[in-house]
Formats: sequence, C-alpha cells, structure tokens
Amino acid sequence: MTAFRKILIQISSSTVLGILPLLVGIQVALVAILLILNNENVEPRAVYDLIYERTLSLPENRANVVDFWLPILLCCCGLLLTFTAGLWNIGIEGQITMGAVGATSIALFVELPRNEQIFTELFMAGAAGGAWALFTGVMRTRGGVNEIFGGVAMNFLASSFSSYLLVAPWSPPNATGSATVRFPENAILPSMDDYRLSPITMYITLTAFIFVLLTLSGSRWGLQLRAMGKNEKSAQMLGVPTERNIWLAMLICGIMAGLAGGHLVLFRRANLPANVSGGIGFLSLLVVLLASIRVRWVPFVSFAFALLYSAGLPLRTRLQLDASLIGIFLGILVFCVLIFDGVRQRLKERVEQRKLLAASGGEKSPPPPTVEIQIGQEASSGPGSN
Amino acid sequence: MRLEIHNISKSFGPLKANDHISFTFEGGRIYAILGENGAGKSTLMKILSGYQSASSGQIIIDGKSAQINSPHHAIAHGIGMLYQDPLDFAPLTVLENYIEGKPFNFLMRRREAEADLLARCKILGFNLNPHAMVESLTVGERQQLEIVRLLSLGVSILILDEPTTGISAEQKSQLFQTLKNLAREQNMIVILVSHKLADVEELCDEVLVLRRGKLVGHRFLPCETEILVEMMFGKRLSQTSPQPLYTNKPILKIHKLSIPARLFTIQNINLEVREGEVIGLAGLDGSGQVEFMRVIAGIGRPTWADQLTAMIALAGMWWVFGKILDESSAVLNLARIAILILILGPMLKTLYLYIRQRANNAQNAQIMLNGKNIGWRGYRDLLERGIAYLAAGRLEEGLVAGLTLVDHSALAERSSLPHVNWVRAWHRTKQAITDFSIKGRPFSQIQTLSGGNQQRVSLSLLPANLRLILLENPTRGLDVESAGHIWSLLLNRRKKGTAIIFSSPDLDEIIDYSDRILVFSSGQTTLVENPEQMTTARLGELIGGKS
Repeated sequence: MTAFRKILIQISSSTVLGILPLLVGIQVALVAILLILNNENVEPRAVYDLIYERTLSLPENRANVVDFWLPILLCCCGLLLTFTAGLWNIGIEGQITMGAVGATSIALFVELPRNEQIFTELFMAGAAGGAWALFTGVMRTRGGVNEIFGGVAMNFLASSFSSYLLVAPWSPPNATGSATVRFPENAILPSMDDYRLSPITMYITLTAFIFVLLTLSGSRWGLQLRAMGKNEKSAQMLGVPTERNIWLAMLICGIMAGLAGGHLVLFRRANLPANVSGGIGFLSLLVVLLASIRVRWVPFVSFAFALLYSAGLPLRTRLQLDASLIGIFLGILVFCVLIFDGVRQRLKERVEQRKLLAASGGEKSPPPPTVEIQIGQEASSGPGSN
Repeated sequence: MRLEIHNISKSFGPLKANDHISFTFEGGRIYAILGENGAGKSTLMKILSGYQSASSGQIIIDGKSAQINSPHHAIAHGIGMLYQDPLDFAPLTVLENYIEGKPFNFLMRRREAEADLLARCKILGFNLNPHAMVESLTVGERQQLEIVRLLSLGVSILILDEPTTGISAEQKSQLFQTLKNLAREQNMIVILVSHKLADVEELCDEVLVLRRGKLVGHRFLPCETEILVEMMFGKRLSQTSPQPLYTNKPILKIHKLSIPARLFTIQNINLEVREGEVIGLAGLDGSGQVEFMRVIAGIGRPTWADQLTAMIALAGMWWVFGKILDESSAVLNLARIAILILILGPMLKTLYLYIRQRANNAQNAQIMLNGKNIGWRGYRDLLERGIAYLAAGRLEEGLVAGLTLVDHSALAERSSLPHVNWVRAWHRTKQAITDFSIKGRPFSQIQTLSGGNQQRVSLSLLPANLRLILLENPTRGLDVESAGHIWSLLLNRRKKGTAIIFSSPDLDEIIDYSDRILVFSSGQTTLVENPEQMTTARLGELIGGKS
C-alpha cells in the first residue's frame, strides 16, 4: 500500500476530518462556477456583492429570504422521512400544489371566524397534500407502481387539476385563468408587525423540524425507516411493518408539503396562481440530496439555497446573467458534493472492514457450545426417524 | 505444464490474508486447496486468476515469470477460474455466452462458433443446446458451458471454486470425470477449492491446507479425513449425530398445495410437519424448494386486497383524467397514455400473479398452522404467529448492510415503545455475541462480518418462541466448523418444539440432519421417511426422477 493511500485511509477514519471530502467537493464546485462566471465576463466579486445587497443587507430583504426559506425547509422535513425510508418522493411538487388547492377551496368558499378559518384552511392544505402523497404510497405497495412513476403521474395530475380549476370553476370574471381572485383578508395568514413573515408558518416549520430530528435520531420508527431505506426486503424479514411505514412516511411528507403549499397561497400570494409551487418541491429534493439526508445540515443548506434563489432576479436585471444560471450553479454544487460524499463513504467502509479483519485475524473464535459435525461421508450416521 | 508460486503474500492492513505461500503445481494432477473460512484460499485463487494482485511474491508458468494484473491477463497466461455461481449472462443464449469473452471480432461468426461449441461438447461428453437461454439451464449445465468456454480460450490451468454446490449427484459424477480426463489427457492443472472433504477425497491427487494465510500442510491422497480436518482447524472435531427430538403432534399441515416454480409447477403437495421435526428439501436448483418455503412463510403472495386497491386506483385515475383533460389535445392525450402505461404495467403484472396463484390453488389448497388456515397471511403476521424464514442471500433478504449489530438487535426487538432503549439493545447484542460465538463487535457494520458470522447474527435475531423455522441453504459458503456450529444452534431449538424445514444443494447435509426428506423432481414431490437408509447416490437418483 502506498503512503498516500495510507494517509487517505487515516484521514477518512477520523471523525473530525471525515468532512474533508465534502469540503473538497465544495471547492471543486466553486472552481467550476468561477470558470462559468469568467466565461460570462462577470466578476465573481460583483455577483457576491449583489447577492449580499439583495438578500442580507436590509431587514426586509432578510425577511424575504426567510419567507422563501420556510416552505422549502418544511418540504425538506417531509422529504427527510421519505428519503430515509428509500422512497424517492418526486411527487412533492404535486403535493404542494394540492395543498395550495385545498387551502384555496376553503379561503374562497368558506367564511368562518378568523382563527377557525385559518385552522380549517391549513387543515385542508395538509389533508389534500397528505392524501395526494398517500395515494402514491398505496400504488407503490399495493399496485407495484414505483413511487417515482407514481409521483410523476400525480404531479402531472395535480398541475392539470389546478389549471382546470383556474380556467373554469375558480376563474375570476373576465380573467385569463392565470390566478384566482385575491382572498379575503380574513382568510390570509397573519403577519408579524415589523417584518412580512408568518409566525404560524414559523411555528409549524419549527415543530416539523423538531419532530423529524427526534424521529430520525432516536426513535424506533426512525430506525425502521433507516433499515427500509438501506434494504426494504431485509427490513421486512426482520419484522418491520414496511407497508405501514411507507404509507405513514408518504402521508407525513405530503402533509408537510401541503402546508408549504398552503403558506404559498395563504401568505405569500393571497391567491392561487398557475404553477403555484414554482419548483420549490424539486429545490427541496436537491437540498436533501446535498445534505446527504442529514437532518442537522438541512436548515443550513436550505437557507443557502433560499438565499441564492432570492438573488436570482437581481442577477438577471443588474448583471445580465441568465436567471437559470443559479439553478446550474446549485446543480454543480449538488453533483460535486454527492460525488465526494460517495468517495468518503467508500473510504469509511474500507476502514471499517480492515479494522474488523485486523481484529478477527489474530483471534481464535470461542468454542461453540455443542458442535455436531458431519464430515461429508455417506449417510451411515444420519439421525434416526420414526 | 508447471505452475510455481513463490512467497505469495497479500495484506489487508495489518491482516495477512496470504503469508509467504510457495508451492509448485505439476501438469496432469488435480489439487485441492482446503482451509476454514478466512484461511486465505479465495485470496490465493483471486491472485492466480487476476482478480487481485499480490502484495509480494512471484508466479512462474512453465519457467517464465508471469505478471497477472487482471482476469484478462490470467486467461492470456492460460489460467481460468470457474466460480460457484458461474459468471454467465442469463438473458443470452448458450452460444452468445460462448462467444462472449473471445477475442474481438466485428462479426460474431455464429456458425463457426456453434460448430466449435458442439465439437468441444462432444469431446467432453456435454449435451448443451447452443440456442437454449442460459436462464433455463441448471447450475450444472452452466458450469459445463463455462468449462467449455474457458477451454476454448486456451486455458490449461483450471481453478474451480466450490463447483459441486447446487448440482445433482449425477452431474457431480460427470463433472469429476471431465476434470479427471482434462488433467490426464490434456496435461492440465486442475485446482479445486472446496469445503467438502468427500469431494476432495473422490477427485484430487494432492491436497494443500491453508490456515490463517499460511500453507500449513501438503498431503498426497488418499489420506485419513481426520488428519485433513486437524490440519484445517488445528484440532480434532467431534463427530456426533443429531438425535431425533420430534413428537407426534403436528404443527403444520399442507393440503393439495400447488406452486409455480422456475422449471415446473409443483402439483398437489401434501405434508404434515411435527413438533421438533427437521425436514430437508432436496432437488435441483429451481425445482420449487424455495418457492415452497416462501409460500408457507407468506412471502411474495399477492392478495385480493392488492388487486382491489390496484383496480380502484386505476379506475379513479382514469376518471380524473377524463374530467380534467382536453380530449382534442393530442399532446395531453399522449401524456395521459404514457402515464397510464407506466402505472398500468406493474398493476397488470400484480393482477396476473394473483390470477395465476388462484388458478394453481383452485382445489381447496390449505396451509394450516396449529389447526388454523394461514394461507392468505403475510410474512410479518406469520412471524408473530411463530414462523420465521431465513433466505440464502443473507445481506439481500435478512440483514441490512450499513446497520450495526446493535441496530439489528433494536430492530428485531418487539416493543411498543416509540423510542429505542440503546443500552438494552447493546446488552442484548453483547449477550448474542457470546451465546452465538459471533466474531464481531456490537458496533460493527453487519456487512463487514464473514458469512458464518452473519448467519449466526441472523439466528440470534429470531424470536425465542418459534414454531417453525424455514431456511434456504443454511450453511451456504461456510466451512465445516462454522456449518457444524450453525446446525448445533438450530438443533438446540428443537428442544422447545420448533420444527425446521430447510433446503440445501448439499445432499450429505440433507441426509445427515433431516428426520424426513421431501424430494422435488420434475414437478412432483416424494417423501422419504427413513433418511438413515438413504445414500447420496440414491437421493441423487430420486432428484433425477428415478423412482
């Protein structure tokens, strides 16, 4: 073994330096991004200054970023559960859309006292998103339809259904079908006094995050989801109720996505527009992938994503950069981090295997309690029967 | 032909898998490499066949030093390896597999290759249909194909890894005759890696024994079995026979069961399993033994509820599509059809499996556990009722790679508490490590353990009060000592009345440990009541269809 490989293995075995490959991945991504910016004749410093100016420099800009961040974090919390269970819930976009539709159905057609109104709207948002996700889960376990295919179909259905509602039954008079009328004030989520932020959404998101953190770090259900994510068949053979867990993980993820959709229409927009989710479901998928399904990393990574996305429009207007470049930058980042995380995993596995080989190599195994050896002879010594 | 290895060493970190091994193999002779699990046999063979490179040492073939860095290099030097599970392509034909791996030609020249294949088969006494799909062949036929393929590539040193696993006695006899002919008539070197001492004694001229990476012995055969065992393990092993412990109380009754297997549909199976009884299932690979056990364990059976849900989902989706889509839009209709195909395909497959299952069991088939019909229950439900199943693929269906021993212990614990008591799980794991002689630590990831230790972990995770354990090839890939230990753990369970049904390609194992044997042959089953009067040859005949 070369000295270089020895050093690599030593490094990877250290908990502190285990994140080195991740840092290398980020460095590689940054170099790639700099090359692209250079190709566009844009100074990286100018991009950084603009992002800072439009996102973090003023309190209202910071509030905007947080408002963008909360629904992403909420979706990520749900996706952490499904990803841990090995379920690629691609249908999260549809679940957000259906949550928004569910909330709108109450906001437009039901009139209740303020508190009851808000509760009913959010309940409907969660129920609609949850039902949409549960349906995908049921198709997975009962019909053998992969959740990716099911999710794509359900996204398509949700988008078509929302468009149908905007064109026909919920279309305002003399409108083009791009959005419903503005909701009554009674139906809109209350805002904080100083900043345009919804305290209800903040509480919901915080609760969801703590729930997911506790579930995945110490609960029996979290362990079962982890086992299913690594090998569903084996988990089933160990007595894990895999079908129930798939349904439950999808349902909870759908509820969280539905609530995120509810926030979009009940607070940010105050009406139901076409393409209400705006891609935050797919953005959440990227966040969870980039965080390697680690709960503690998700708030930071999702915040960074929210920050960069919030700066998308100024980049286009001020620096004449294509807004889609932000998506490309994030894609490069995710790609590089995933590659180097894979390298880290492989090194870690090797180290563990070598440690065990070294530990068992010199040891003598303890004698078995009662050894009954049959050395391959003809069956003259077989057990009696009858 | 002459193969010399000088001071071959291979290290994995501090562990020396091969430690300065030197030997000279002569043409025309058949050698056996023996050793317990982890002795370094596979590493040495992988070095010779190019899958791994040695840390140090030299390989000399016919007086010339050979650099072997890949299987391709090894074949160029005339070394070929036949694996326990032959490395072929199941969805291709025999001829296509034969052509694969040959020096590249833009045109495959099928006719020439077919003539060549048939000529070689004729010389070796094999009967392979060039146009048959490999997935329809038995393991024995696949081995024959691999031997012919390797010989066509000019191999003169043939290494065989556990070649008798999964083949019938008749196929084994034919394989051994072929190997003897190749050694004697073509002056080839044949090296056999095996755990089965009976095979070694029957086939080989010389035997090398490895222990902890070192070559600890060399003997000419015939030689006393006990001497070989002592060289392998460094001690003599006791040879005791398990005593029957069953009562006359039946726990499982199977009535008129029909099961579709890979090769045949097994018709009308009737069996009564008694408390504490061990029933061995014998038959060629794919004859239905595994499917039989899986049906009893409730694994992979579509139920009526699956169908109902699938149909409701399908109808609901069709209705929603019909409501919201514009019929005149070709693009939307295409998308609608594409998505329906994606969803319809798997659902129709499930429906087909269900209908086939119903058709096969149309005549009141029943599986009764302690007098109650369990025919439509799933595995988890049956596990609660005392039926457990251990598959042959330990890491595929049984244990979860990436989780530790403590994680497994916590997963297998039946508890209604929402949180895991990790301290208790750790104590249980430590206890299991001691009780089941597992070489591993509580926080070792399961995939880093050897096959034997993984199997011990699987057994330690089974609930205590089981009525029936179903096992697919319980000692797959294990050496004599590990296999003996696994069986001692299993047989101890009989004292509490647990019955055992197991399948194995090793006929000796079936005869030695079974109270009764159920033979699967050509879609029929035969129950052997007195295994003590059975020989492997006779059992092989029954498997082959001779009554």
